[in-house]
Amino acid sequence: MTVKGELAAHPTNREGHRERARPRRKRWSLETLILVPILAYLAVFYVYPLARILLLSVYGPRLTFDHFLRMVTVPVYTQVLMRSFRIALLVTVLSLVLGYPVAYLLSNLKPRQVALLMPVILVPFTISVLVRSYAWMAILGRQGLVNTLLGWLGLTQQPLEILYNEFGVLLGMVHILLPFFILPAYSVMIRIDRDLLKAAYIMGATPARGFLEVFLPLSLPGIIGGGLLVFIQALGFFVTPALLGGPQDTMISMLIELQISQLLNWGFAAALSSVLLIATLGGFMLLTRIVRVSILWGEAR
Amino acid sequence: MRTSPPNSWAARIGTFSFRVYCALVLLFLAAPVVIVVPLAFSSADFLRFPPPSYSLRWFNNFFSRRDWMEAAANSFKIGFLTAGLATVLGTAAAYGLVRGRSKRKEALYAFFISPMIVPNIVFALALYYLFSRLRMVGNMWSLVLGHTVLALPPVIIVLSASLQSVDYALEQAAMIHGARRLRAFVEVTLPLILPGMVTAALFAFLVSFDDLLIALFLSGSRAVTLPKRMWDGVRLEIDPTVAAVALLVMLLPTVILVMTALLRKRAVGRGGEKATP
Amino acid sequence: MAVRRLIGWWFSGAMGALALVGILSGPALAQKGEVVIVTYGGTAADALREAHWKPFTAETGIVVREETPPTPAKVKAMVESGNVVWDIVEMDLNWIISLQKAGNYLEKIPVNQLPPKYVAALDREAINEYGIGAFYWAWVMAYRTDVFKAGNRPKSWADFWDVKRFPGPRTLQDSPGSNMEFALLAAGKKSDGLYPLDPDQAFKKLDEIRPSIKKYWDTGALAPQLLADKEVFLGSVYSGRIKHLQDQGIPVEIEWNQGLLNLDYWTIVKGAKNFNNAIKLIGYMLDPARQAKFAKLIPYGPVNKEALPLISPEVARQLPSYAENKKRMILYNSEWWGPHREELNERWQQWKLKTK
Repeated sequence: MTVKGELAAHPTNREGHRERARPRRKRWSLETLILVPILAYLAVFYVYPLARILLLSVYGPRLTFDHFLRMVTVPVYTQVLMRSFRIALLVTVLSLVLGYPVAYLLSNLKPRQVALLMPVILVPFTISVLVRSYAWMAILGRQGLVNTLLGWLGLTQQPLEILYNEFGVLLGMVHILLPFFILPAYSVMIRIDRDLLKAAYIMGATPARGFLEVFLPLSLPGIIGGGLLVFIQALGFFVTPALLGGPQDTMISMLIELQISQLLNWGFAAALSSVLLIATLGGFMLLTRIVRVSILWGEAR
Repeated sequence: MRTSPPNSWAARIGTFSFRVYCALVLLFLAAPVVIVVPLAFSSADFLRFPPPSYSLRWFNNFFSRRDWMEAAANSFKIGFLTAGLATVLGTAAAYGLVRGRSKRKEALYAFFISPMIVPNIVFALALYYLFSRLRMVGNMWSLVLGHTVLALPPVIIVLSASLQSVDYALEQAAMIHGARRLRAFVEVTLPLILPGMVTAALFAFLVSFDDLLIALFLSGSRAVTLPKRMWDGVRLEIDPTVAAVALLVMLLPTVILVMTALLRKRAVGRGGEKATP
Repeated sequence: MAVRRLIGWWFSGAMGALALVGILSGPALAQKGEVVIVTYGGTAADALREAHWKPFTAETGIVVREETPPTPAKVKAMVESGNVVWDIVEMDLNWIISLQKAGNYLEKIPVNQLPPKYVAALDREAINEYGIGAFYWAWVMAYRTDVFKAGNRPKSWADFWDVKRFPGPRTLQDSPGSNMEFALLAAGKKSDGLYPLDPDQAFKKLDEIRPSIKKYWDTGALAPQLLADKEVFLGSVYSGRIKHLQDQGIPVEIEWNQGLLNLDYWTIVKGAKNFNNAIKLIGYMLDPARQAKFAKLIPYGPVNKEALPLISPEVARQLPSYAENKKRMILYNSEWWGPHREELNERWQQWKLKTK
C-alpha cells in the first residue's frame, strides 16, 4: 500500500484539500508493512541460525540422537546440567531474598528519593558483566579486598577460600542478576493501589497481616516475573562462572564453549545448546503467560 | 505508606533493621564498581589489594599498545554501526507495534524482546556457524549484524515507550491538514521521539560495546573488540592493564546514563508528552 | 527546539565521523601486507614481539597480527570451512602429527626459501616437514618458597602428590598432556620406562590429586598468576614464565627435576592467505642474534646453535636446553602423543568434570 495509492483513493475536491475519510481497512496497512524490515532481518540473522543449530543437534550427516543420548548417559554431563539448574535456582532464591525488600522500599519512597537511589541500581546494571566479574575476582581473591580487610581486622588467621568455588560464583551471579529482579518487582509494586492497604488497616488488620494478605499476593506477578527472568538468564551464564568458578563449577554454557573451542564437537555442542535454548524459551513463554511482558518495562496501558 | 504509623518499639526496630538490610543490599550492588578504581592505579604487577603504591603505568600501557588501541577503535566502530542499524530497524518496528492494530501485538513484542532472553552462548554459537560458512569470521560486519539483533530489544522497549507518549492525534491532525503520511511522521512525530531515539541509540551502542560472547567467536584477529581483548587479558596477562581498561570502560555507561537522564528532562514538559517511568 | 536540533546534528555528525573512520581505516591495512601469528600469549608473546616482531615490521613494513591461543580444533575448522584466518601457528610435534594424521591441515615448509645460513645452523630436530623449530621449553613444577621453606621443598612429582608433607592448593594444566606423565612419575614409574603411557594407571593416580586442584590453567599466564596471587602454593608451569615473577620479587622457584622438555614449532596453516609473508617471518625469527635476545627476555632455548655463544652464562643457566637442566628432565614423546591426543583429550575433559 503506497502513499500514492491512498491519495488516489481520495481525490481532491474543488478547494484543493484532500478529503480524508476514515481509511478503509486495506489488506496491507502501513503499520504492517513497516514491520517487514525487522521481521526479515530477524528471520535471517536470528531465527535461521538458531534453527540451524537445533537441526545440527539431531542431523549431522544423518539423523541421529546420539548427542542427546550422550548427554543423559554420561554421568558427568548430566551432572553439569543438574548443577546449572541448581545454581540458577539458588541464584533466583537469593535474588528474591535480597531484592524483594529493596523493591518494596523503593516503591514506597517519594519520587525524589527514588531518583536518588535508582542510580545505585542502574549504574552497576549498565556496566558490562565482564568488568563486574573481574572486579569480583579482585574482591574475593586470597589477597583481595575481603581477605585483606578480615585479616587487618584480625577476624581470620587464614585467608578465606571464597574464589574459584561455588560461593564465589553465586555471589557474582547474584550481584549481576539482582537488578533483573528488583526492576520488574518494583514496576509491579508501584502499581499496587495503596488504598487497598489503607482499607485493610481501617478494618483492623495489623501491618504484618496487611502485608501478607494484601500486598504480597498483589506483588506476586512481579515476584514470578522477576524470578523467572533471573532464572532463565542464570541458566545460560558464561562469563561469571568461567572467571569466578573452580573446575567443579562448570555450567552448561562453559561446556558448550569447550566442545567447540577444544574438541570441535559441533553435534554435541548443538545438542547442549538445544537443551539450554528450549529450557530458556520454555521459561520465557511461561513468563509471558503470567505477566504481560510490557508491564516489566512500565508500558502504559 | 501506612495510615497507622507503627509506634511500638518492636515495629520501630523492625523498620530500622529493614532499612539497614536494604542499605546493605544496595552496598553489595555498588561495591565492586568501586574496587576497580584503586586497582587500576596500582603500581603492582598483580591483582594485589591494597595496592603497594599508585601509578599510571597501566593506563600508559593501554594507550601505547597497538592491540589495545585497535580493540578500542573496533569496539567504537562496531558500536556506532550497530547503534545506527538497530535504531533504524527498531524505530520502524516500534512504530508498527504501537500504531498497529494487530491482535498479535503481545506476541510480536515478545518475539522482538526474545534476543534478550535467548542465552548468549547459544546465539553466539549459532552465528559462528552461520558466518563461518559465509567466510565472514573476523569481519567487522558479522559483529555488527549479530550485535544489532541483541540491541533491538532495548531499542524497541525505549521507542515503544516514547511513541506511546506521543499522541497519534498530532499525526492525524497533520494529515488532515494535507500532509502525507511520511511527512506527518517526519515533521511531527520524529522530532518528538528524537530524545527517545537518541536514548535508544545509546543503549544499542552499549549493548554492542559490552558484548563478549559473540565477539569471542566472531572476532578473529582483525575485528578484535575491547571485551574480547580484555577477556584475553584476564586470562593471558598477569598485569592489571585490564583493571585500567575496566575503569575507563565503566565511565562510558555512566556518561551515557547521565546523558539519557538529561534527555528525559528535556522531553518532559513539552506539549503532548508524558514522562516515561 | 534548539537543543533538539543540536542533539540531532551532534548525533549525525558523530555517526558520520565514525563511518568515515571505518571506511578510511579499512583499505589502509591491506596495502603493506600482514601476517597472522598465533602463540600462547602472555610474557612469551611479549618477548617474541620485542625480539622479533617489532623489528620485522620496522624492516619490512609487514604488520604482525597476534592471536592466541592456538588450538588444533580451530585449525581444523578453518581449513575445512575454507575460511583460513591464521597463517603461522605455534604448536608442538604431537599436534603436527595428530593434524596430519587426520587430514591435510598444514602447509609443507619450503626450507629452500629460508635463509640458508640460518637453516644450516639449526638443531636437527628443529626442521620438520611441516614445521620449523621455534624454541625449547619445559613443563616444570613451581612452588612458593615462602610456604615451603628451605629444607622442605618439593623435588619430584611424588612430592607434588604428597599432600601431607606439602599441603595446599595446587594447579595443573587443563590438558592430559604432561599431567599423565607427572601422574605416572608420581606413581613410581622410572623416567626411561615412561612411554608408552598407561592411561588407566595415570588417571587413577590423578584421582588422588584431584581434590587439591583449585583451578586448572588453560593459558600460559594463568599458572604464574595463581602462584603470584597465592591462590595455589604449587603447580605445573611453562618453565619460562616464572622468571617474570622472580624479577618482581615474588618468592617462587622452579624444579627442573622430572620436568618435561619439549620443542615448539612454527607451522603454516594449509591455505594460509599470507603464505609468503609467513615464510619471511619464520626465516626472520631464525636469526641467532635475535634468538639470543629472545632467550634473555624469557628463558626459552634457541634452536639456532649460533645463538648459544651470544647468550651470557647467567641466562644460559636458566634455559631448559642448558646441559645441567636438560639431563634432569625427560623428553616429551610427541610420537606417542600424536595418535592418542584426541581420545585422551575427550577422556580428560570428562575426568575433570567428575566430582568424586
